[in-house]
Amino acid sequence: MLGEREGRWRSLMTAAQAGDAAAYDALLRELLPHLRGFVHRRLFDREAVEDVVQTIFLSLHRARHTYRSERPFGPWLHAIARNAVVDQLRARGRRPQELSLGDDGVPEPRAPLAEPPAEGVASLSPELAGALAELPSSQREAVELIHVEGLSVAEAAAQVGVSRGALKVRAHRGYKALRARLGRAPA
Amino acid sequence: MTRPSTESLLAELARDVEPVRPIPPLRAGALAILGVWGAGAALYWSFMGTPGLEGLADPNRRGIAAALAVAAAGGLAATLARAVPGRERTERLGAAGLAAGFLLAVFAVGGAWIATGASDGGSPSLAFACLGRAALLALAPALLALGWLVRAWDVRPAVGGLVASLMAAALGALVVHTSCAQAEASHMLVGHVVGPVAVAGLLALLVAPWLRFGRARLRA
Repeated sequence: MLGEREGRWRSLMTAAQAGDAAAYDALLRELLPHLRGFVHRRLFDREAVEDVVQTIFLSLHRARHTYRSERPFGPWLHAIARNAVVDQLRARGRRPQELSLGDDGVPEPRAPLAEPPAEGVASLSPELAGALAELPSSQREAVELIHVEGLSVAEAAAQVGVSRGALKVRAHRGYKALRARLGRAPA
Repeated sequence: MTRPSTESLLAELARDVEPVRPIPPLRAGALAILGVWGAGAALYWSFMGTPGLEGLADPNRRGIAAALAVAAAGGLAATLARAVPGRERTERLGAAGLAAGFLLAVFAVGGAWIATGASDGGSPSLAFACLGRAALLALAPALLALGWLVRAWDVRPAVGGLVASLMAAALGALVVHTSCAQAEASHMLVGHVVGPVAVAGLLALLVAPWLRFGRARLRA
């Protein structure tokens, strides 16, 4: 399913590069919920999320000539998105004590998000969703991508922009913390 | 000021979309830069000969040549990868190769210094002649690489300019090193390694406003 989505995005982007407005419109609309989830996992407030999502779309539009159809679309898109998130965090001049650095050097909030970040999380039990929200954002993101959104480790690593090993470590720590929070002994 | 809704922004972007020519594959960029460099090197070698190649029997001189080749390869990969989102790993590896190559070259010069003794007295004018030639040979690859970066998606154009300049400096220095019979460590340090790095730094400073302008134009 994810491979299908990747293939569709790739062909829509290739058509958009050729000037196909309908394909571009379809692509941007498909990307919107995905990018909202991506940004929401990394930022606190809803207002900033929408600003960053718009910035990502503008950057995508200006950088669309740098996409090559033989390359995967996901890593290209997420590199643009990650950069916009980092820019936003820098521009807001957050106090250092509010942030910690993730393994990839991207600042991450310590506090949980104000609301569930992705549509998939809404389907979880309140207990699990609550425990998930308390995880550090890098661990929460790894767990969500693999177990809530159903991405493979390779796909999730490409989306986050870290190596597969780093993503596995984050996910492992996340599971361990979840088990501890839900009152089960870690395996 | 009211911000337009994201949905209306998307509609506007789709309405305004124009055909774009995708950036060439990184392999094509690499071939173009190496082609220009190779043509310059062939021309230079045809005039100057390759006495330096005979000197490569010396492990320190060979080490410098290998280190410059590593720096050039790393710099080439890093420069080209900076142009495209999602190629950060290649960029990081290339940048590491670039830095490691120049560091190894300095160590190899240190080895040559120990081998020839501290009394080594290379002529400064010869060193500056080599430095000038290396800079000239670096010019065409540097311009090509910088032209690539202007079209690119580079979030830090000044850093991109420095990486591209260092890559071109390594390419230029490599040609000069293989053509130069001077074996003095101080000569190689100034003319073949540290001097080209300094010239690359200067070039990066000079082109930074141009690259920033290119990026601003893409953002406009």
